[in-house]
Amino acid sequence: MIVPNKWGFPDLGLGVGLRTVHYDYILKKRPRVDWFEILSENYLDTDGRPMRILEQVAERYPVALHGVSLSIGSTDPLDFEYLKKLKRLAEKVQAHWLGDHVCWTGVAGRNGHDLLPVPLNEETLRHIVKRIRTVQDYLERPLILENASTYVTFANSTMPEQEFIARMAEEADCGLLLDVNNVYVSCRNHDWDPWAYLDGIPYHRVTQIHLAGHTDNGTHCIDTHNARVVDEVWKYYAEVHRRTGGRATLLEWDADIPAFPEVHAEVLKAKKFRREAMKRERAAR
Amino acid sequence: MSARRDKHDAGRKIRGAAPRRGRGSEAAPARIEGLVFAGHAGGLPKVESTRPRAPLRAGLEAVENWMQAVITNAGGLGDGERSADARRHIDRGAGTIEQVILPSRNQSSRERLQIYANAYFWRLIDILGEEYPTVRQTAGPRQFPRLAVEYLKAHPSRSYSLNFLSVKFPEFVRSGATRLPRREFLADIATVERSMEDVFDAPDVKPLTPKEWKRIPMSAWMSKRLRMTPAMRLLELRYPVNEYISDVREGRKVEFPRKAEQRLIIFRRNFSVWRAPLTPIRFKLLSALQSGATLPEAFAACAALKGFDAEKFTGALKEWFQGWASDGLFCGVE
Ligand SMILES: [Fe+2]
Repeated sequence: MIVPNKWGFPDLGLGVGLRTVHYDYILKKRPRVDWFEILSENYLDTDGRPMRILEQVAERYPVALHGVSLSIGSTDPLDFEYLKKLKRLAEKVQAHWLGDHVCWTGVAGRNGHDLLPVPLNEETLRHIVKRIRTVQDYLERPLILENASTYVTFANSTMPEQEFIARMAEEADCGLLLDVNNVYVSCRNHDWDPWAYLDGIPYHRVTQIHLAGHTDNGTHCIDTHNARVVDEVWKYYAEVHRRTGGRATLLEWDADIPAFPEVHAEVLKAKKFRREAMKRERAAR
Repeated sequence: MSARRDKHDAGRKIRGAAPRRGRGSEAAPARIEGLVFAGHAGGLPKVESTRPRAPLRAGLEAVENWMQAVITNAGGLGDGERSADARRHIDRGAGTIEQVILPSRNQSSRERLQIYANAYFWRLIDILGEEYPTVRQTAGPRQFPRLAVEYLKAHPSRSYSLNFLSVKFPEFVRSGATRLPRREFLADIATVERSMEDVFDAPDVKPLTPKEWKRIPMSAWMSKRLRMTPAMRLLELRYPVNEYISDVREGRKVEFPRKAEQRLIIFRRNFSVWRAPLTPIRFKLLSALQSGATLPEAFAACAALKGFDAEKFTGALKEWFQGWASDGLFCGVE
């Protein structure tokens, strides 16, 4: 059964994360990319070259905002100064949606600039749901929250991550960004079953999909975004496509970044997996 | 501007959505003069939980505060676990980490938590290094991470944005809070590299066009003030670091310059950052205008300089102002 997006957010197609090293190429060659994802924090406090480039990109391509500083899981108060700037940026570039991660970045007024994991239990769930509602009221749109890659689990967690995410999304009425590489990384690190994970996701809330590469250290994987997407992750992607019929898909490449055409070619591989998934879905019906 | 100009055209380094964890990690513990944050399990013997795990009743606030205290302790996980800062929130003795963090099939609780501890310092050291590449290169691979860690301990990030992480770095380098060879020289370099960042991100204010210049009546010049672009910094330095910075950033082999005063202008034109040395008199004139002096007041400030030559000064003014105007330094008259 194909599940449509609850809010009717469009399938923007196959996009690439906008990165500094590609600025010149994109402006000069105007590659035929479906859309770009913008890292919000890189444009919130500058009125220089990055902002001028973003304006040109947003003029020519659909964009969505993706942040790393919302810290929805933190027990510190929400930063409304940050939210104000975020809202302004989203309006300025006419972002289709804006997202962040299910994580926290610091407490006691500090910021570690990392996506830190939360204990998966009832207390955390209540806390995060309340904060999502506050943020959505302020931004006047649904938040699209992403499952992060994690490297530890807590002794006081009481539920599987997919259950936590599903309940969070339902109770807060927010959207989801399903990062299928993060599903792979977290499941490897915590000995979870990735197929049970994928089975627990409420697909009518999934608005966007992330693809990326990681580093496999044998004992554990690190979400380094420095390589091609591995075969297993493509399998998850195909499965998600079979269930959704197509969601805005984005490749993240943040370290050892190759030339733009190579990054673009990597995300275009998704076409093949989309076709095969739909074939399977039709055959099953 | 006649002197050598140096252009800095790099875009802002993008901070990706994947926090960097690649460095100093599992394979090669990096030990930096007593700092063991990137080492293995903070030098403590593994206390893998042979003892039964009592249920953890810590609330979210306690877990977060505890975890932050443990992973951001520069002495390593063991020191972090023993710190008052962590124990205030969760304290179960020497095996607290094992009581809070579960092991996986392949890794102990400590090995897993170490991933976050490594990431914390190396990520921020890398970012300081990207913003201060010449300080990094000059201080070297042993001194720079040490300096960066000392800075992060004194000034941990308190903003959602990494843009503000290193605002106090030049001041910290200059202050002598940490032992450092060539302190003054490094502080001057840090001051310049900080200003380059500030100018890069400064508000975009349109400069006066030649047409607008012509429309300003002569009489106005005696009483009004020129509004200068916010994307400009004027620096007085103790070392001639300008050429040195360009040489280092462009990968040329260089020697440390001898102490000698240097005055610099750093400004943005067409969204690129430029640096150029200034003579004392031009520096004085621009500084006066930047601090809100009228033209006659600024001229008077210049006339007070030692060796002032009125005739030469008057003769050069037109060319100076034309140069500065075409560099977009003036954006209004008020
Ligand atoms: Fe992602």
